[in-house]
Amino acid sequence: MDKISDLPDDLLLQILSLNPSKDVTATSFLSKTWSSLWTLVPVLGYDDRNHNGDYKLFTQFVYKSLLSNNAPVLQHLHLNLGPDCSSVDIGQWINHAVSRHLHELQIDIRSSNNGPFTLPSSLYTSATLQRLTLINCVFLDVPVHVHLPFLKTLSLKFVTYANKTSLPTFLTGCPNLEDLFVEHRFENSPMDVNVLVPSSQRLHMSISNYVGKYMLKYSSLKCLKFVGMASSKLLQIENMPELIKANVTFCEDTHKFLKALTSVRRLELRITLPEVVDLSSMIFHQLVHLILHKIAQEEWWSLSAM
Amino acid sequence: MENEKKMITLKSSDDVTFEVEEAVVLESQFLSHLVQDCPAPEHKIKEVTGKILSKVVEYCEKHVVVVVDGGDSSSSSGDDLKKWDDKFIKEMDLSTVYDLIAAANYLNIQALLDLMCQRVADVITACKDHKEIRETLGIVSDYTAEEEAEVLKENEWAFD
Repeated sequence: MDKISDLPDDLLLQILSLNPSKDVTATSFLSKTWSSLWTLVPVLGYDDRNHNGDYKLFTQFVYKSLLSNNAPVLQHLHLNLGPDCSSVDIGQWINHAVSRHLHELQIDIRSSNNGPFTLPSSLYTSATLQRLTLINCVFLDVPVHVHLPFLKTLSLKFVTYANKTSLPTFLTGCPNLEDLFVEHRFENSPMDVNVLVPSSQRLHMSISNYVGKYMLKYSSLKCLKFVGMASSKLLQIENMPELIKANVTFCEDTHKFLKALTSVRRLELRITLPEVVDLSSMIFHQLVHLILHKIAQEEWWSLSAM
Repeated sequence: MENEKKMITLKSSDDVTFEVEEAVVLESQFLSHLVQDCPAPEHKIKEVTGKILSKVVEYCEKHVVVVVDGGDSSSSSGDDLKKWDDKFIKEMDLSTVYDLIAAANYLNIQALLDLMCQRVADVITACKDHKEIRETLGIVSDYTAEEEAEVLKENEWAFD
């Protein structure tokens, strides 16, 4: 046997997991050793821009490839699709992947002829999903019952929300969420983010270009990274007595926000100069480590007690 | 205050020896355990040749995590390391890459394994069809002409 084919299957699968599914399928013709390896690759990636010719052939390719997959665990599915892709097909692919106990899903619908794509309801109750990334023309019409017990990372970039309760309802069903990224386009209507996940201990929340109000009810949080924007407005924040580490960047509502974090031990802050003066009345009883960014040295002293 | 650095000797399957700092050895999960469990000054690695072990040592020496004062750990800065990795891999033929995949897997050095797998994946992606992949990766086909024609026909859907 040749040298590469001599490598154990798990290493060959590791290599193939780094390739788009189109290239992976081509390896089935290499030799008998490789003939069924492609069906065991746990990572599937489909991008219609990599396919030429009739769109039907691309659709057929995804169905065949997805249905031929026999990996013990379907780790990751990545769909990158343009306006020619039918929402019925996308829905079926996602349903199939969820039934195969998918761990990570990334959907980027670059543009769509018939409005944003509505996610199938099966996705909202996946018992195995750990990471979900939704980009562009995706419509979040969240059902009343959301149960994603293992979802740790949720990224929503420029998606459309059915109504004001879509995101809060979604988050209520994700008890173990650790990383939340919400990115808004300017033209998106204002939306409220109510993060209310009492059991979570770690949260990375980033709301850029975000116009709307947000609320953080996270009393058991131990580690917080927050990146806010001037256009977003803090509505309510719950005290976080367990907080050990916080890394906070924002432009407005600093005082109100930081008052909830006074138990923190390690704090890294990026704030504007006028906001620092505003902190003078606050006492951080347990603070042992502090990093301030973009602030002149002498302003440090306005933070009264450490 | 810096303690005197502990040195460890690694011996390849063909008896080439490499004297390295303990920190370098710790880049490998396998060697970390070996050094902990068996405090001998020299360790023979039967599964890896001198040629490949020299590459492994070169990589680990570059990637070794330096503990600086204050307890924070840092390796060479990210960009520099990335550039170094690119050069390291560019100068390497695929036969060496395959050996390093096997060695990194055996020695359990995840970052090196990832780097080498990515190199092969990039080569596959750059090929236009299975014939080019076969030729570039040096894969010997054991299909007869009839068998190959049949497999191609069966999987016609895989082509544009």
